[in-house]
Amino acid sequence: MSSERWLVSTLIAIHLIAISAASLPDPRELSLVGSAARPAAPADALARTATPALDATVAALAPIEAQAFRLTTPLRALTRTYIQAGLRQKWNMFANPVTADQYVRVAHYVESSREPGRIRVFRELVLPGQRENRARLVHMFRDKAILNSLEALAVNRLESHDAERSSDLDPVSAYFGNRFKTGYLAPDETVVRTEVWFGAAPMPPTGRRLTDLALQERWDVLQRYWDGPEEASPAATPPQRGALQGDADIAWRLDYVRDR
Amino acid sequence: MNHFLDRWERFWFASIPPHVYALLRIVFGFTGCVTLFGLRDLSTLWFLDGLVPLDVGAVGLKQYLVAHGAGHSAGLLLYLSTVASFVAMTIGFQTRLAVPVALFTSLMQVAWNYLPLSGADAAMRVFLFCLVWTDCGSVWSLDAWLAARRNPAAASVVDSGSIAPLRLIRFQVALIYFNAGLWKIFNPYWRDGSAVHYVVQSNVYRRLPHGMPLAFDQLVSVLTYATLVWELTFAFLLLLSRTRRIALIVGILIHLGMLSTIEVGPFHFVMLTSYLAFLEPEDVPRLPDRLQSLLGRRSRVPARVETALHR
Repeated sequence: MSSERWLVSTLIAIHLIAISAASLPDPRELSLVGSAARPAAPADALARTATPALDATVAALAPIEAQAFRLTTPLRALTRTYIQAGLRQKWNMFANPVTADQYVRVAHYVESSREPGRIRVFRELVLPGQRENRARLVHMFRDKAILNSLEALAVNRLESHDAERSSDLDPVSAYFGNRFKTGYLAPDETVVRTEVWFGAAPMPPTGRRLTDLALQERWDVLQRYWDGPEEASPAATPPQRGALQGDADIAWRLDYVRDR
Repeated sequence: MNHFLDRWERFWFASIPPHVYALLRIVFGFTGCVTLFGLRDLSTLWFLDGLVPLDVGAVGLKQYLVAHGAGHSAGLLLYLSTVASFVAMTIGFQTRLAVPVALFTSLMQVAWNYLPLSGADAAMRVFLFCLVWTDCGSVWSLDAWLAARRNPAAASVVDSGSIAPLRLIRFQVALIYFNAGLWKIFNPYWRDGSAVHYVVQSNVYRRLPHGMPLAFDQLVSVLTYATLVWELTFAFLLLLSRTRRIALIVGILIHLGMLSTIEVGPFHFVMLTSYLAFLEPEDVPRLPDRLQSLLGRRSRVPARVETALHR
């Protein structure tokens, strides 16, 4: 082989080693993916047979994977810069399916200089961006941006051991706050508080569906938001982070508060 | 040792016609252009007062731009540069520059705003990284057309390329599926056969208002296990030509099935186009002829381009 080919061969070998080492999942992250609780027993004969076999496989595989991850740590350390330059190898799409329907609602608290002290509250649904009672034909990158913000929040809360952390939702709050102000407020009105609520509605397990009645009740609630921001009656005291509310079968949790 | 080195050299440095690289350039470039069309809401996804994290990636630059009121113009400039690089890559204009620039602007996009991006963009970047190392504009490109106009005699012969970048793309595709399968098998829903149910019924992914009908649930565990097994074995199935065909056909079916039931952006398109890397490179130059004969037309392509390989 020519010296040039020796050099290229070395670079190829380094590349393959780097991306292979980078593709080994971190056992701590794997344990998060694996910690989801099963909502129901396996539904059919195939699942009843395969589940114990796969559970046993994973029980045997987990220590091997952890050992492989530990042994390749020096390789990852050596090639970190190379991988971070754009060759990240984390392909965990749908690895941890969410077992609830997801919603995000933003509440804007508005005060007018003409009526100081009088607060009006407007709520808008920002996820999903399309009406869910219609077929979804095109991708909404805005939805993906909100889902990625929520994922960043969940991961960072776990990694930082800070359940109060919420800065990952800053872009969501700032963007929708500005958009609401531009689209709906008069010059004398300002947004004095923004809340971001995460909503979850239970998804029935395999073999079951929501009844038409339950689905219609949920859509009736969502209809109020689909027509644009809706005005809500303000509470005597604004809710604190972690507050819970219910809307049909959607359970809302206040994840983010920003007072201005 | 010599035997191993010979095999290594043949495996990584065999000469192939450059058409497969041109084909990959065109399909990845086109997919990138379509993705960028979907990302055209500049005020939401590119301007710094949009849905953009200011404390992640290029933080200093973003803060500087915001402080100087240039958050909109910088976002617009980055968007237009990215579009220009992918359009140039697709049509093969200044290709040697266009492909690295498309990779660079894709990386800039991650630093600028990773929020609307997904596995599709990450896959696109790793494939572009492989394409950077080869000349994918010597055929089926504006560059080649312009060169032929300048010097018609030289246009009938094109240089062959090394197979190494193609092998790297194939390895990358296999690694993507193996890694995806590894993540999945650790999740209880993938092991109990219900994962596909939760994915296709999710209100943020499903295409139809009611999701899939109840009768579909009889297939859920089969589809869940089929996906899991296929992802974990894809890399090994590629080793033999007969099983490789099965792996790719199953892959096409799985991606098309997901495409028709859930809406997750360009990921399926990027992966399906990456399958073109598994075509036999020697067959690719004849693809236009085959397409034309399939369409029932006589070829209007002049004498077949002779590669340096066959000289």
